Parts: sequence; C-alpha cells; structure tokens
Amino acid sequence: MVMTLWWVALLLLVAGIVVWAITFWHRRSMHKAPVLVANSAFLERVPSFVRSQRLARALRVVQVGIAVLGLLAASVLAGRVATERVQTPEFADRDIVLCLDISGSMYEYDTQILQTFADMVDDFQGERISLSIFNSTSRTVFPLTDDYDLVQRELKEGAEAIDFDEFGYRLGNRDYPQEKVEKYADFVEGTRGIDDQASVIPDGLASCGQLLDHAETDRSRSIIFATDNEVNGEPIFSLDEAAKSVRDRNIDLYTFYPGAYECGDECFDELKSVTEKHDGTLYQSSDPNAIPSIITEIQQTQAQKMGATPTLIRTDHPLFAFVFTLLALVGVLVVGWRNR
Amino acid sequence: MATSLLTRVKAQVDLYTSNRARGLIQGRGRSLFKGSGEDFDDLKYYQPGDKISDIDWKATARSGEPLIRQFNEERVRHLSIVADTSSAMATRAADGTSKRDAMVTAAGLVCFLAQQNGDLVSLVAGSQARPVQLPSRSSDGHLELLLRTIQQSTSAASEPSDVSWLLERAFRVTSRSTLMTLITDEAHPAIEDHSILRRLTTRHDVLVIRIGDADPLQPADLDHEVVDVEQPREISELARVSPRVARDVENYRRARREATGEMLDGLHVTHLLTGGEDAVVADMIAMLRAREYRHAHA
Repeated sequence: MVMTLWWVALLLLVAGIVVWAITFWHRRSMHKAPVLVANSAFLERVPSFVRSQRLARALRVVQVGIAVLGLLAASVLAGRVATERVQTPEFADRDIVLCLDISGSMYEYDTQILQTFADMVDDFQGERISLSIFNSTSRTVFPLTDDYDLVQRELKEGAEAIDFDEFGYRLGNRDYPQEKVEKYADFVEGTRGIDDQASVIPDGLASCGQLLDHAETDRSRSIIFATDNEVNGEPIFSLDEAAKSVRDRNIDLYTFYPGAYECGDECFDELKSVTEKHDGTLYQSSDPNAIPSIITEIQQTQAQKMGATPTLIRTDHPLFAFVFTLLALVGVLVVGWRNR
Repeated sequence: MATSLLTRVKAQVDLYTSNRARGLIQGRGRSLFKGSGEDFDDLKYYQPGDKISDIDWKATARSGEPLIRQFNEERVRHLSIVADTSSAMATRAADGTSKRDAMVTAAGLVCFLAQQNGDLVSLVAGSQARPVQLPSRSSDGHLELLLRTIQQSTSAASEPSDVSWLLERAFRVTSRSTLMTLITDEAHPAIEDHSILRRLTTRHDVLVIRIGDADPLQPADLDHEVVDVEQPREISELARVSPRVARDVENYRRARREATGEMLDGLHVTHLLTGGEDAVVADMIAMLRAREYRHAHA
C-alpha cells in the first residue's frame, strides 16, 4: 500500500489544520455582540437545562470527531492509496528446455538444477518448460508444457532420483536402498542406448534443440545446457555443429559448466568458445549451491534480451476512503443541522 | 450625552402623565408622599395598622368613633435612593432595554418628584470594594450628578451583585428617617435579606423597584450568544430552543419572583417588578397612586 499523491494528502491536512487554527483564533470575533444577561446562575439547577447542555456538548464532540475523520478520509482519498506491483509482461511467450548431462560426473549438479527449477515453477506464468536428459542417448522426460503440476512433480521426482552416486555404488563405496536404485534406473532408462559410450554431449545438445517446436511462431526459445563437456564416445555432431544447429533455429543457449571432472581446461575451453561463438552465454561455478542464482541470472538476461521492461502497475483503492468521506460529510450535515 | 438625564426623565414623565397623573403628583397641593408630618391635614377614621399615637383622643371622644389625625409631610423631606450598581444591572432587561437605563429612569422619576417639592435626595450605591455615596441635597445639579453617578457606576465591569451589603450599608449611613427607594433587579432582594430589610423598615419608608431580567434562553435571537455577566459560559442552542427547558426555566423564575414578592408583602414594603425602561415610569406612577390611595383610604 502506497500513497501515490501523498503530498496532496499532506496539503489537504495542513489546509484543514490551518482553517481550524484560523477559526479557533477568531472564534470570538466571528460572533456578533452577545446578549448580556444576569441572574442566570440558577440554570445549572434546572435538570432539563443541564441535560440539554450535556447533549449539546456530546453532539459537538461527535461533530468534531466526524469532521476530523472526514478530513482524514478526504486526505487519504486525495492521496490515492494504491497497491504497486512489478510486472514483467511477455514472459508467457517463453519456451525453456532444460538439457541435462546426467553422466556420472554431473550427478551433484543435476539434482541442484532440477530442485531449483522445481522451486521456480510457482513463479511461471504461461512459460512452457521441458526436460531432456542425455548420456550416450537422449531421453525426453517431459516435452514442452505449461502443465505446472506435472512439471513440478517430474522435476521433484527427477531431482530425487538423480541424487545417486553411480560410480560410488558400482565400486561398493556407497550403498542405497533397493527402491532408490530402481528409481534411479527408471529415471536414466533410455539414456544409455549405445554401449560403451557415455556423455555424447554434442548429440545431446542437438536433440534438445529438436524439442523446441512451433518454429514458425515468434517465441522466445532457450536451452539451459548443463554439462562438463567430457565426451566418452563418438558423437555424430561436433559440438560446434550442434551449437550451430541450435543457433540456426533461433534458440538462445545458456551453458552451465560446473567444473572439471577428468578432462580439464581443454574441455572447458571448447565449451566456452563454442558457446560464445554462437551468441550463447556461459556460466561457471563448481559450487552446486550457486545454481539458483545462476538460473535467476539467466532469467534476467533473457528478460533484457526480450526488451521486457518490468512495469510498475498501480491499483487504486479508493473505496474505503470514499465511503468514509461521504459518511463523514453526511454525518456533519446531519449533526450540524440538529445542533445548529 | 448632551441633554441632562433629569431633563430626559422629565420628558418621559410628561409624556406619560400629561393628563391624568399630573394632578396626582402635584395638583391640589396633595403629595404622593403622604405621611406623618408636622402639618396637620385632616381627621380620618382609625383603621387597623395606623399608629395608636396618632389617635386624636379628644375627637374620638367627641365622635364616639376612633379618629386619627393626618398630617402632611414635613415641608422638606428626605429621600434616599439605594441603587444596585453591580454588573448585573448592566445587562438586558425583560423588555429588551437596558436594566441600567431602567434604573436611571426610576431614580430620575424619584428625583423629578423631589425636585417638584424641593425634597432632599441622597444616594447609596457601589460595592464593598468601591462604595458610592452622595449626601442629601436638593439642587438640580446634585440630582443630575446623582443620576449620572448611578449611570456611570453601572457597567459590565462592575463588581458582582451584593444587595445584602448594599442594604446593610444603607442602614448604616442613613441615620435620618427617609423615604428609601431601593432599585435592583428581579432576583433581589433575596430571601436571606429579610432581616436587614426589616431593620430598614423600622427606620425608613422603603420602596423596592425591581427590574425584570431578560430571558437567559433568548430563543428568538439565536444569532447572538447569551452571556451571563457574572458567570460567562456558553448556553447551547439546543438548550435555548428546547420548549421543555424554557418551561422549567420560566417556572423557576416565577417561583423566585413570587418568593421575593411575598417576602416584601410580608414586610409591608411597597414594591414593583417592571419589565424595563419602557415600562418603568408607568409602573412607578401606578405604584405611587396605589400607595397614595392606600394611605388616603387606610
């Protein structure tokens, strides 16, 4: 709640006080010469007179109270009390594909990314979102949709399922309950279509690009591409080709690089150069907890690109002040007429 | 004020008494102030209330009926005016005129009558803090001064009303027997003043002229506030227009008027309640005629 024209309200209040002060100072001179009488002390012993005086005094107090209330209400009304809301329009035209590398090296980050998105779904208004995971092959967990119940459920389940240290489990370092193992197996099902290969990253990116449909409509399209770019296989596309195909389809690429696993600088440099060559943006952080802020940053970058300036939307709330002003006016008139 | 107060009162008296009352006041050598003087006038039948010492025993023996001797007043009589010059008298009278003007007119009428007979008039007025007193004199200048003194000592800034003190003072400073005219308002003298009034009547022939107060509610004049000169407080319009309040107030005032009237009647004091300046001359002449009649026929 803010007062848009607070200075008008202030002005009105000051004016009210000034008027009151002027009339207060001149309250004697405004009266005509009084009628002087004597021997009227007995009036205080006449009960009906005392009652009338008391009633008159009470009425006057009421009148003053109503007048003050009316002045306050009128001031508030003049000040235009409104609620303010910042709204960013046109976000509804967004399509976002979450493109996750779920090779063993990424498991910590994937959970965090999915969790963050699950939390952000509440704020979405009409955006369509999709999740694609890949290892040696890609699996679409859910295609572009604005069914947020489903999105949230899938993201949460995914976050839970992917929180699994596969290498540790295989080496016997980590133990998981059977149920959890099955969940993980179900989730990653279909991402190991090619034996002895893992993390075929360029192909994963290319297939994520295929998910963005309605190529002919003017929509904002983006891919959030999380990978460490450690390829263990023979991709059909090169990373550059995959990024180019994405760019050609007018898709913004946001790459998230969590940090080196085995490969190191070589892989990072390739990812960075390819991403920037195709007008993408690369974010880098080895801290899984930084993911929410990075995703927020991606959102903002996207908003700026779309020219969606956040607008301040004011909604006036004149009803209460208006009703009070009106009632006070009526009250002053009624009481004033009675207590002329 | 260019014209003298006495002249103005004379004009008022002349206007009122042009025909019928002139004779009453000055004609046929008769005096309004008839009483026990040295100058033998007539014999008349004794009535209860007459002084036993006035009985003419020889004449009574001759006629077989108790007869009393009636005398004209002494040639030079002493009149005294006891004027309530408190702030209460600087207010509005019942008929809308000023109580002070009514008081000055009443005093003026006494002075006028005194002037006709060459009587001496003294004044007792003022308050405990500022007592006012004028000696017995008969000159026109003195009478004029007396009226002016009454007029000028009475203002809204004067002391509050204290008729008890005034009567006490009048009793103390007026040693000679006089025809004493007390001029005050409808609320005075109060019942508490009974004893001092009785003492006064033993020495003086007392007349009381009471000037009616304006209605403190003034329901017809709501444009103006009503302020009690001794107790300034706001009287709400609600109270002023209420018929119920008006009735209760009128009942109270009537009871107060009647209580004072009864007390004065009980003391055999001639008294009168007048509405204000417009009525005071007529009322006083009517009172004096009734008094003369009573004296003549008593």
